[in-house]
Amino acid sequence: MKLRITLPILTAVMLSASVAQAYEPDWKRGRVYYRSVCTSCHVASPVGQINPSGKTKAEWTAYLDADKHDKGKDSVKQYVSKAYRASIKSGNKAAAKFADVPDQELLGDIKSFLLRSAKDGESPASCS
Amino acid sequence: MSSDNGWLAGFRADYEKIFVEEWSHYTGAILLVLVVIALMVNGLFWGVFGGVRYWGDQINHMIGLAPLLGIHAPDEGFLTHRMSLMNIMLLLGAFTAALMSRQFQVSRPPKLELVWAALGGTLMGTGASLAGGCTTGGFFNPVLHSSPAGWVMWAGLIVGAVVGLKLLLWTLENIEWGMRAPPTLNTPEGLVNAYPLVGVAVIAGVLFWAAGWYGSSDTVLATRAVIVLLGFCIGFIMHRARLCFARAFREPFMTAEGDMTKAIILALAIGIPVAAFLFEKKVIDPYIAIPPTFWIGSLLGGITFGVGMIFAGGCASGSLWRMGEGHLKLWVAMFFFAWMGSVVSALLKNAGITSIDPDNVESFEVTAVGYQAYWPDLLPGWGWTLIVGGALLAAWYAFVRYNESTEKFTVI
Repeated sequence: MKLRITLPILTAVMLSASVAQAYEPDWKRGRVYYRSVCTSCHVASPVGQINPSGKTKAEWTAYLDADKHDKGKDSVKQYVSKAYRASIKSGNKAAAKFADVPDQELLGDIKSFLLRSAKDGESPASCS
Repeated sequence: MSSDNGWLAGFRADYEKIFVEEWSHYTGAILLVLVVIALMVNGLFWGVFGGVRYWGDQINHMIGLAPLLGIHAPDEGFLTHRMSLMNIMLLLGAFTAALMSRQFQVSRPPKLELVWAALGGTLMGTGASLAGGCTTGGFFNPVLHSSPAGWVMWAGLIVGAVVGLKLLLWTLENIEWGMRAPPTLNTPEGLVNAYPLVGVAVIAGVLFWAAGWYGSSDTVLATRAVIVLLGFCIGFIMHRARLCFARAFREPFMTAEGDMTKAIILALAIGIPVAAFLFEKKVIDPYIAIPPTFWIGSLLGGITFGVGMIFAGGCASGSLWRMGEGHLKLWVAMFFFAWMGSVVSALLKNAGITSIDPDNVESFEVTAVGYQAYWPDLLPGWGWTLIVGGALLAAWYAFVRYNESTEKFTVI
């Protein structure tokens, strides 16, 4: 009797889980964007390069959640957005390559790369 | 030592069988691949050179060369740097196995052998820097991870082994200096008889250490606990079965004996398909252990490393377990391997030869000596990947087997 009620519920739960399959971040794509867009711009600006291993996983997560770029003058998301990519794609191969990637996906890729490469991540990475 | 206790004799006989008598290479190879798979399930991979180079970086910091070479101060310690810890545990595992079999013996080589150790270590350091790893990280792992880079280093290692043998032969005929071995150091018998007990104590200590770290609130230490155990197992297994990549590459050309080579082939034949499942099920990302050196770096590195391992008398993992057994020659080889591995790695990176190309927008890394090649992404899927991997293993086996009977390819 119980079984007859639980089974459909279980099935429904399982189905919904598979339908709502979250996007699986691609850290390798995040790495390319970080290196070709973030780092290349930072190196040219007075900020200098920002090593992924310079922050812990928690610090990176907090930084991305706060979404403040350049001490809050603008947002991080803005630099990942399609509009920004379109504006620099003539001179930036990565921006051109990922021109049509949805903002949320690319942001997820970058986050996944930063968490991997953070000070306490799986493989801490510096720029050099 | 006969005893009235028949059952005790039975236990003693089994102890001898497991801890004293040499294991078959095949047993060792199968166990080794099991441990490597266990590492992969934990999101890790087996590597040696990364840790050796880290030691070299530390040496360069001590002698003040690091700033000149642009080597960053390592931000991890000897026991928290994953590969360094793995190597320390490999050494400790081999040392324990040597104690339990009462085979631990500090042995001093002739002077000339020390020169060859330094030369061999230097060449291995150079080769591993080019190929992005030693016989483990440049050959075994990439082959296991279905990367052609491993097979290119394999070809280089074969060429290097042949060249190294020829060179070594020449030195035997033409160099007479420093050939006399110093007298053997005699270990008191009482001490040797106590070795197994010390060995058991070390095992207990390692288990206690791993358990302590595993339960630690520090996440870094908790993840390192796995390495403490598995690295120790690798060293123990390698010593018991006397596994050695250098021998696998050298022996067919020296004595035509192919047992070690066939054991390595067996390990890979088991490992490749199992690893394929892990990649396919996204348990681990194959790219984390594929060096960006296909093909130039892998080939040149393989040749250089191949010559080096002949002169040193062991590859990286083989040197580590022989160090654990007490061979001073390999301690010297390892010192130069580490130090020069660090120096050459830094020089190649600074020269832009092995540094990652910052303008590359592919999902794999690119350097001046190659890229991260992964067969499933280059060929039409896993079917072809496994066919190519299997065919190469079969060809290697056929060559070794044929040569065992005919000795056509021995160069001595």
